[in-house]
Amino acid sequence: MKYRNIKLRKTMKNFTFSTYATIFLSVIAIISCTDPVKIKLKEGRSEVAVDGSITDQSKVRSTPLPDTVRLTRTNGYLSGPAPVISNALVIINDNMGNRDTLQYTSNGKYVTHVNKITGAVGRNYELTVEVDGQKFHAADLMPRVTNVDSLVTDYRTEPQYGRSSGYFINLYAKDLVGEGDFYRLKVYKNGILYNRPLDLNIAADAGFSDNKPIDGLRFIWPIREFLNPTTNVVDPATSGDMAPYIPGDTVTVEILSLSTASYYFYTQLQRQLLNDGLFASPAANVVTNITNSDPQSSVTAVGWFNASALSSKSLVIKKKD
Amino acid sequence: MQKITFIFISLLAFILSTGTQAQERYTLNGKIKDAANGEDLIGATLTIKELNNGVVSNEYGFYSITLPKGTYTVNVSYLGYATFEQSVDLNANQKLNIELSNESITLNEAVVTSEAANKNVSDAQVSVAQLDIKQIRKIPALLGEVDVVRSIQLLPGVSSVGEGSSGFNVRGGSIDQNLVLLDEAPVYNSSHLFGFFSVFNPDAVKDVKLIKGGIPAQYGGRLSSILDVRLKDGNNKKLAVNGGVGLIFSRLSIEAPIVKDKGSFIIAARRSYADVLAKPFLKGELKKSSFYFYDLTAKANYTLGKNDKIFLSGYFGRDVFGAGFGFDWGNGTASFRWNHVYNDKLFSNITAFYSKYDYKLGTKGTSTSGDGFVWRSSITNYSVKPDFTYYLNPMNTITFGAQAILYDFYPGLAVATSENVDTEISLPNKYALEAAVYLGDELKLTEDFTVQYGLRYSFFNYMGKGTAYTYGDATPGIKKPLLSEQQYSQWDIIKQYSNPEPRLSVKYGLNSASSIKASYNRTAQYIHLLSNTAASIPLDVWTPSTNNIKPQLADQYVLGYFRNFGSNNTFETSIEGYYKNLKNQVEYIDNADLILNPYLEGQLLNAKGRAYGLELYLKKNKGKLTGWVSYTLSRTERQTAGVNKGNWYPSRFDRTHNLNVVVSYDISERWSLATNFAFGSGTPISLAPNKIDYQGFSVSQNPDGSRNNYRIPAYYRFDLSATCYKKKKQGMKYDWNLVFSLYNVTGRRNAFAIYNTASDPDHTITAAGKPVQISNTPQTLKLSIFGSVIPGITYNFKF
Repeated sequence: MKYRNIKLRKTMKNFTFSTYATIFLSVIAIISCTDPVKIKLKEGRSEVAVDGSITDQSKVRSTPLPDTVRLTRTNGYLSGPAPVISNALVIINDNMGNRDTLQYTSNGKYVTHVNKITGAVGRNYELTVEVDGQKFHAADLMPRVTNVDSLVTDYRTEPQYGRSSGYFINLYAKDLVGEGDFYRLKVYKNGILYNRPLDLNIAADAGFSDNKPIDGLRFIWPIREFLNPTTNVVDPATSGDMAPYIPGDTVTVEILSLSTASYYFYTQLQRQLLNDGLFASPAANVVTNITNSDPQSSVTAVGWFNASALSSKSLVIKKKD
Repeated sequence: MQKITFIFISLLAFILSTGTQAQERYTLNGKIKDAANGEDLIGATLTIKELNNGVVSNEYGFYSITLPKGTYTVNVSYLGYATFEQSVDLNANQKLNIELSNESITLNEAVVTSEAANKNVSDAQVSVAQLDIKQIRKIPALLGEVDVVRSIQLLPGVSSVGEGSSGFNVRGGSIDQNLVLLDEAPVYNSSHLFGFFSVFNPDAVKDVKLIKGGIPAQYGGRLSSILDVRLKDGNNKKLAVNGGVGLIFSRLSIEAPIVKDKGSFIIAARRSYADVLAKPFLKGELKKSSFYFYDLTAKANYTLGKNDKIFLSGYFGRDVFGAGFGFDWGNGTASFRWNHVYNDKLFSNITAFYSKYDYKLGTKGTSTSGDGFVWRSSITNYSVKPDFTYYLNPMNTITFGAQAILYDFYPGLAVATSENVDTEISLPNKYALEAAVYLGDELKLTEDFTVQYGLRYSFFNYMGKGTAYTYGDATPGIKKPLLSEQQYSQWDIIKQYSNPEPRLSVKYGLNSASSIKASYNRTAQYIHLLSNTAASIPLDVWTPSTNNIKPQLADQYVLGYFRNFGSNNTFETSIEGYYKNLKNQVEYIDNADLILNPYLEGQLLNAKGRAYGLELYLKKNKGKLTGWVSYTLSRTERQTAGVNKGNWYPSRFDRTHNLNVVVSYDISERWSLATNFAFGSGTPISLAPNKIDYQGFSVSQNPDGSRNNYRIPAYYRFDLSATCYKKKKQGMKYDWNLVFSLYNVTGRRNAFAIYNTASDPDHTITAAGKPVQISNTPQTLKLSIFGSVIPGITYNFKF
């Protein structure tokens, strides 16, 4: 048995709720707990799963890296690694006449040839996947992205926001003026992406919600705060690399632009990955932009293909004098 | 509908004709009270022995009965009180105020045996449960703290999603379909600490009545049930203090006469102190955290002459949680009531109330950063409600009245501060007016045959100032596109609705110990709690019916058989079946975004619902051993295009079997034991069988898109409590008892939910000892709210 882990929640709702409900529960010695269970649920029909993107990363990297499309098949939730698809024909083309047939490497990954196609803001990209006689399509527009003005060390002498004291980072970056800019913010420590569901950090303009945009300002506080490691607030000592940064760490922040459709996909992904506990809403499937060219076909695909522009900045955490 | 209106008018004509037959009749009326503290007794039965005819005291202890001239034996009985009997020579209209004495609880002495009334059999009202606070106190409780809402969840037809969920579900209705009244003012969130306790301070509560079906015409505004909680008036004979010290909170109440026998007051307060006790165990920033609740309940009454009495009641409570990021919510209610007896037969009560629920969350950030996020939301309403009861003749008791409620919905104002620049994210207020008129009659056609019928006519006006949104059609289950917005200025009508709500209950007495009852009622509900989570959260937003959200409607049919056993109606039993048809239920598209969303109406779906079930109830009221067994077999389902491929699916709170056994046993003068056993079938949840491997995440995928496709394991729980009472001594004012309780004795980890999630970080460790990759191993977890047995101890005192 594992006692319920206290987590900082990404969405405002979950952020406050699960955390404090659980604190309350644990302090009155009524310990709510979670137990891993094996359940009997019949595995569903397998679908083609697409995990692909194209970026303009070559503009920020010294040596351009290829973009990747990964193809797998969905399988039982607890059935182990997803079977990979290695026999597909994968093509990306843009609206300027560029076209690239991706090269299969390993583990379901198909990579672009950097001299054939690279991302550029404002262009439309189309993905075509042919597998076992079925043809799937997806398309996305690469939107503009804002710059990281600076990244600074934020040394906290006092515990704050449910985190212990220590070294953290503070981002200076402003949303571009004009409503309808969407971003995903990523953090790497020493080259490793923080890639827990809690680390998914999605912004609509400078805020959270596209319903009431906060436009043209610096990214609001919770978004910046989530660039810091997600800490186990009950016992920071056991939280491993979720503890504060340490001097010498190289921290990199990337901002990727998202189209409106990709923004909705990511907000749904975030919601479903964090949808647990007392205040969970009904589990639902995440939207997909992969369609079968034959709408009558019984073979369906899931997943997402997006085109994102990228900006980035790195910081080496310096020891406080 | 026209047919019902015709029947209604015919019956009304019948009353008027019966009224004229009377010759030389006189009215006996008055109030029935508790002799010890002057509290009005609700639902006491007054019987005229010679005629085998009777009447039940109303919510204010008032009764009136009109009889032919003669000499009668008046018998008044009320559970837990010694029976009152007096001969009355009725040759003129007469006022008779009756005071009942507490039944002696001393078991060894000669006990004045009181006869339990057979009200459950003889009343026309079906599907009703009345719980005296004394009965509630006997049930083993979580942490030894008795609780009104947790107690009613042990009754047939009442359930909840699970431990730790706010509110309760009645006969397949959602939690917002219960009208929870505290001295006639509605309470919008009846929970403290996420549903572990309710807002009702048991020291201040006198009487609790839950109506699940055959809802009389005087009640309206919610589909599924009425929970009518009445506060004590306050002791009008002498000063009395009640209190308790427990593990989680302490209580204190003071009641005293303002002017002896004329007016009195009660003030009751509670505060939890888990935060104070926990402080030494908290680390880091959590030391600064706060989590507690408090509430204050107060009431005063004053009798103005023979025919008038006024009451002022108020409640205020808050839950506060915070550690850097603060969160608090609470209700406030105030009601003013004026009872007036116009003449021997006409009783009236006029209520004016105010009720508000609000919450706030956010942070101001650090003082230096100038950053923060604050969000507020509320619902406020004001209402006037005159109610009249006309005791026309022994055959007819007519009720009529009206209500108007003005709503002010404040869906949310969020202020995000970034570098001292405030950005307001505000959703405009919404205004609405709800009104209703009603007329009802209880007609005793013969000694055995009673008909309770009535009509409520309700109106709803969604009005400006505000913005009305028009949405286009879309594939069901997908966010609807916004077509246009229209601004309305103050008081402009945006959308109007009205609904006739016929109500009918029929009782046929087979003999003095058994009866058959049937009822039909239509109810309409114009305000909705938007909640898409398994357990309702305090952030859930109430919304009016609008041009896009139609009023919810329910038709309920009930058939029941009621039978008492034993010489003094020692055992009450009933069997009831119900069928409920629900229209315009609010459902949500997948991945609906309900928080701070001005366009949320585009994400709502209109669903149909049906609920049906069978309820068995056995209750023992008297003797050393008391308690009840309740069993419910039920089903509740929803259907809408866009969810579950348009097929019917069980709702999240569907429980096939639900069994509760509550037993208490008085061992001696000083000790009593109580036990409770609860069993419930697992509730359905949505659980995806497959996963998508996307960017290192395992994303749940259900290729069928089926809703609530899996049932969590069955729930069962066993509780025990023992109460030690102070030794009885003559003349000692101070009294105490000590309650020891064990909740969930077997320590069973009942599942609240089962869900797919990523495991805690797994690291692939390199030779250098540094993690190179964070992986998210998929796992399916069972969440249990209580992981072990929970002991409790509470010391209660009074003087």
